[in-house]
Order: sequence, then structure tokens, then C-alpha cells
Amino acid sequence: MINSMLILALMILASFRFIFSFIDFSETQLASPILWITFFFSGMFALAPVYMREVEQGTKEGLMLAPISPSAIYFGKFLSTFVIVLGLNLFSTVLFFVFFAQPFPDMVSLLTIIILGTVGFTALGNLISAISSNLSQSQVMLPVMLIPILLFTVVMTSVEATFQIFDGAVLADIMDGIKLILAFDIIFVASGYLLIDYIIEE
Amino acid sequence: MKKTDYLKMIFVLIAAVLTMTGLYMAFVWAPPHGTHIFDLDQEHKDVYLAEPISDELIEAFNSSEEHINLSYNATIKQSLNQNGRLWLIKDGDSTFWIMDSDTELKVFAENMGDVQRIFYFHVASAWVAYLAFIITFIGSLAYLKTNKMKYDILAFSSAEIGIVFCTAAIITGGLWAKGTWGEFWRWEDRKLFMTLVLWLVFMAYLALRSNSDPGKARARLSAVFSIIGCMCIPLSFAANRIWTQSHPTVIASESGSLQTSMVFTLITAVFAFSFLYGAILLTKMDVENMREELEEIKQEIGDLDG
Amino acid sequence: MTSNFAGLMADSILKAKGIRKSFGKKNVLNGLDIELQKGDVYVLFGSNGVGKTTLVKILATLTEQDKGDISHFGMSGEEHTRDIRRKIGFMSHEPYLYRDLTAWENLAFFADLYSIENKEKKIEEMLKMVELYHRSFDRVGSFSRGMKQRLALARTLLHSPELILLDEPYSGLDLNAQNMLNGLIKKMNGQGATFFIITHDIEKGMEIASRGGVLSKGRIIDEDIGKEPEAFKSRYKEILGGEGN
Repeated sequence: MINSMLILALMILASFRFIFSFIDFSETQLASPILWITFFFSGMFALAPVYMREVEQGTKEGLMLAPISPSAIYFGKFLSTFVIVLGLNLFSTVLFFVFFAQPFPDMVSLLTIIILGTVGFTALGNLISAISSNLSQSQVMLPVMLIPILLFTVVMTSVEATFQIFDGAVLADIMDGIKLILAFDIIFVASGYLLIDYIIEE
Repeated sequence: MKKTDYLKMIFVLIAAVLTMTGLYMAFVWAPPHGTHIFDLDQEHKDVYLAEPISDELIEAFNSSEEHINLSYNATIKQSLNQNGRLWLIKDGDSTFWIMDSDTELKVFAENMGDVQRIFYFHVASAWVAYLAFIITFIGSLAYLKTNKMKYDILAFSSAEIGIVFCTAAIITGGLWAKGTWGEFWRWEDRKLFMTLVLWLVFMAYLALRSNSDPGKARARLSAVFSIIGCMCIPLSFAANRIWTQSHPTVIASESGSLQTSMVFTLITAVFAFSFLYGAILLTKMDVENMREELEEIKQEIGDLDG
Repeated sequence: MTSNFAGLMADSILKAKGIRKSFGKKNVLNGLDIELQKGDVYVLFGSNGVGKTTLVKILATLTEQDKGDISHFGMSGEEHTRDIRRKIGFMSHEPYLYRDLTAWENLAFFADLYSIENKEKKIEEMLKMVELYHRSFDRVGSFSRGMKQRLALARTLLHSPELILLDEPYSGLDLNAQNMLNGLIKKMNGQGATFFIITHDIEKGMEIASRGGVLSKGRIIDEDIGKEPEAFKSRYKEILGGEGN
């Protein structure tokens, strides 16, 4: 399953490469959006099966039956998807520099933004994934619910910060963005912790 | 009749009276030509409604050649100042451009004409949309706290009405913007953008509801989703500086103010729409309650059958 | 109040009163009462679609009833749910097993969820009991329906629950395994476990039942199982015919 996610990330980046090969675009301007669109969509496919598979395999009830709190399930899934999505994003970043001949920006700040963005992405993504696993057409409903909330909070902020990084900013220059992403991370993890009870309960 | 029926009737009556009054005020009483004055202070590019530019100024302008010295006009000088010599140029018959020696040509003021009247609808429906979403947020919280279905019905009904008014706000806002800015949409405008995103969030909310079976599970899921949406989106737009602001601030600041008649019309419109919202909300909740009762009756009949 | 009640009826494992549950327009349970004492093997018979699974899920705390009260081990209410779940073993017709994990890994995962001490030993014991020890390290995805069912049984009994709920345990098992299961139930019952079993298999169910009943139209309608087993069987078959299954 992880293999196919890596391949998906490869495919998304490759399609960006090919699309932009026809037009003369300043890639510096596009680096940040390309990276985050790749993160967003490949990450979404990583999030989709998290609760869905429990429902499909019929193991969700087994989990609910266990004497553990729903937030324990949430944090377990959050941590595991965080590791997977972060690995996926780092892989995409490497691929990005292979495909697009970019001068390397300040790597410390780039990695900071990617890690913090991934925390928020998976924290909220897990919660929404849990909601969508209870719905009909859950495959469609995950992006429908995820895009409006996630895109305009963590992703937009990260895109803006990453844009500055590719523009030559260092860690000190993007402190505002980092603080904001951190604030969203905390809000998402907290709301995951507080609200997951209402979602997993039957 | 139940207690809510009386309340509903009162709301409908007040809404009707206020709507009539508001329409009269907007189309007959208040002047059609609100004027935009653009503050030229580099840091605050706020746009606000103000009294029409004085006849004195326009006359001075018309009688002069291409440029005139504005230093004589005290009210406008306040917002210009500093650089001393400024040039005012008139474009067509309603738009004033201003140019100082350093910076580019900027729109200074323009007559908005009838387009202004859309503004009353726009502000009122945007207000109701926000109000409705806040009520949804409160209803969702109350549902999670108490587990009572009536709060779920409140949240859902309010969200549905909010979507309608939000759509109206976006459309009227676009029309108004076309008449004022010359374009339907400005992506860099923070308020426009946030309204659109809230609209998207609540579309997702309705999609969530329609993809779930009625019952406690649906109530819980949608409550959780609306809470996250209502919390995060406004926060994001308040905290983020990505979106620059050029939205008209309704109640204007020092250098110009909304005409009194326009203020009254706007307030009437806001109240009329609020009561309209209240009346629709009560009706909608009644319908949803009846639907529930109907289900229960159907079950009882099912029991007799079985 | 609850503790007083528990003190009076120390042996009451499960007590449910006036359980109602409906899905949309369909009324599944209609004011059902049931009470289990320690050491009971209660077998509830019913044809397909009469709400057996709904009932057992409600009793296993997985689904919430619309109306009615349930107490397990003298406890009820949300704050006790975790304590109750720790003492319940539930085998549904879904095996609750992860296809991509081995039999051992599956049991190890559930052992962690129930924080079982000495889990290696316990898992080994369970796998031997259901005769799957030789397949410990094969992926569950490669198992047959019957093997999955047996492994699910091992998962159910892993944490030595006091109340064991079985939903159609015989389906998917061959005759040998069915007999093994009945033997196991008797053995564990001897050790003090209480069973609640729902099935439509009257022959197998009657072999082990100490008490029993028939579920029909959302209620338990016939509990005279002990006095005349043969008459009970024929009455049950009549009901089956009557419901047009």
C-alpha cells in the first residue's frame, strides 16, 4: 500500500513536470504550490483508508469493543499516519529536486515547514477520515470535507511560508508562518482528542 | 397553536413590515449615489462610503484645466496631506483619479449610482449568513453537550438557511463589486474569500448530512464537522496575512462617514433580514420536527402491522 | 443505587429491561427483557432478520438502544463502559481480524488492547485450543472461513471474559469444529463463564443450552426450553415456517 502511495507521489510530480515542460514558467514561483499540491493529494490517499479499512474489514467493532478510549485509537492512528505521510512528503521533496532543477533553498526551514505542516495535515486528516468512514460515498466525501478546512488553514499558510523559503528566506524570516502553523497543529490535535469520542462511538 | 407558532407569526410580521420599510428606504428615501472615497494613506487602503463629493469640489474641478491644487479643500486634504501638491483628474463623469508626483494614478473617488442599492441587500444577507453559521456552531456544541435532537435540528436548519443567504451575499457582492471595482471578484479580498470558504465548508456540511442516515450518528458527525469548520476558518483568515484587505468598511472612519439616511436604511435592512431569518428558521425547525413525528407515527403503524 | 442493586443480586451478570431499537421505519426490538445469571448458557433462537444481531450488539455495548435499561455485572452507564467491556467477549459473524497480519500478530494486537499480562503464553494457549498453532505465522488473509471463525473464537476468549456473547457461532464451521466449540463452551461454563448465544441452529444450540428462548417480532416469546426440549424444537420449527423464511 505504501508502495502505491510513493508511486502516486511520483506520478503527480511527473505530471507537473510534463505540464510545465511546454511553457516557459519561472519555476521558482511555482515550487511551493507544486510541492504542496503533491503533498496534499498524495497525503489524502494515505489518509483515506485509515478508518475505511477498519470498516471494510469489519474490524472497527473489534476496536470499539476493546476497553480503550477512542482517543487512544485516534492517537495511534495519528502517529502512524504521521510517520507514513512525512516519509511520503520527504520522498516527494527529493523527487521534486530531481525533476525540477532548483537551487537548494534553506533546508532547515523547508524541513521545519514540511514537518509542522504534516502534523496539522494528519491530525485533522485523521479526524475527517474517521467522519467520512461512516458515510456513504466515503471516498468522495473525504476530499469534499478535507479541502475546505485543511486547504485554507494549514496548507495555505505552509504554501506561503514555503514560497518565501524558495525566495531565499531563512528560519527567522518565516517565524510568523511557523507560529500560525503550530497554532493550527495544536488546535487540530486538541480537537481530534476531544471530538473523536463522538465520531467513533456507535 | 403552540408557543412557537405565535413567535413565528410575530417574526413573520416584523420581517414583512421591516422589509417593506427597508425597500422603500433603499429605493426611494436614501440617495442612490453613495460615493466611494479611497483613502490614500499607503498603509490603510480601506475603502469606505462617504458623503458625495462636495459640489464645490466638482465645480472647482470642472472650471479648472487638467490639474488643480487641492490644498484648499480641508475635508479631502486630511486624507491626502504630506506631499503637498496633488493632481486630481476626472475620468468620464463620475470617477476621480488622483496623482501625486511620486506614485501612480489611483482612483480617488467615484460615484456609485444605483449600484449602491445592492449594498443594502449584500450587507444584510452576509450578516444573516454569518449569524446562521454561528447559530449552527452553537447548536452543534449544544448537541454534543446534551445529546438532544432538537439542537441537531437547530444546527442543520440554520446551516441550510445560512447557505441560501451566503449564496445571496456572494452574488450580490459580486454584482456590487462589478459596479464599483469593475470586476466581479477580487481574490485578494479577505472578507470575500472567507465568505466563499465558509460557503464551501457548509456545502461540505450539507453533503455530509445527505450521505448519512438520519439518527444520532449523523447528528454527531455533522456537529463535529461544523464545529471544526466554524472554529478554524475565521481563525485562519483573522491570523493570516496572505490575504490583503480592500473590503469596504461599512461604518466609515474619520475622514468620511456614511450618510445618515444610508445608515438608517442599512440598519433597517439588517433587522429585516434578521427577522426573516428567524421566521424561516422557526418554520424550518417545525418542518423537521414534524418529519420526526411522522417517522415515529410510521413506526407505530409498523408495530400494529407487524 | 446501582451498587445496592448489585449487592442484592450478586449473581446477575446481565439484566436488560424494555429494550427497543428501530432502524428508520423498521422496528427491530420491541420492549425486550432478558436476564442472565452467573453460569447460564442462554441460547436464543431466531430466524434470519428478526434482530438477533442487533440484540447481541446492544448487549455487547456496541450499539445503543433507543429505549430501555441494561446493566452488566450490576454496572450501567457510560462511565462504566470500559470496565464492562473488559469483562465481555463478543464473537460476531465478522471475525474482527486483520487480513494482512498473521494469526499471532492479530492475537498479540488484541492482547495489547486488553492489556493482558504474559501474553505470549496466553496466545500460545489460545492458538493450541482452537487447533491453529501450526498456522500461527500465516497471514489471516490466507485462512478459510472456518479457520477465521476459530481464530475469532480465540480472540474472543483471549482476555478470559466473564460474559461471552456468540453471534451465530456455528455458521462456517464443519461438524468437527462445531463439536469442538460445544465442548469448549461446556468446559468454560464449568469454569464459571456465562454464555449468551444466538443461533438459528436448533440442534447444536439445544446440546448446550441451560436456558433458552425464541426471538420473534422484537420480543422473546418462548422460554420453556428446559421442560420439554422436543416440544420446544417443534414449536420453534413452526414459528420458522410461520415467518415464511
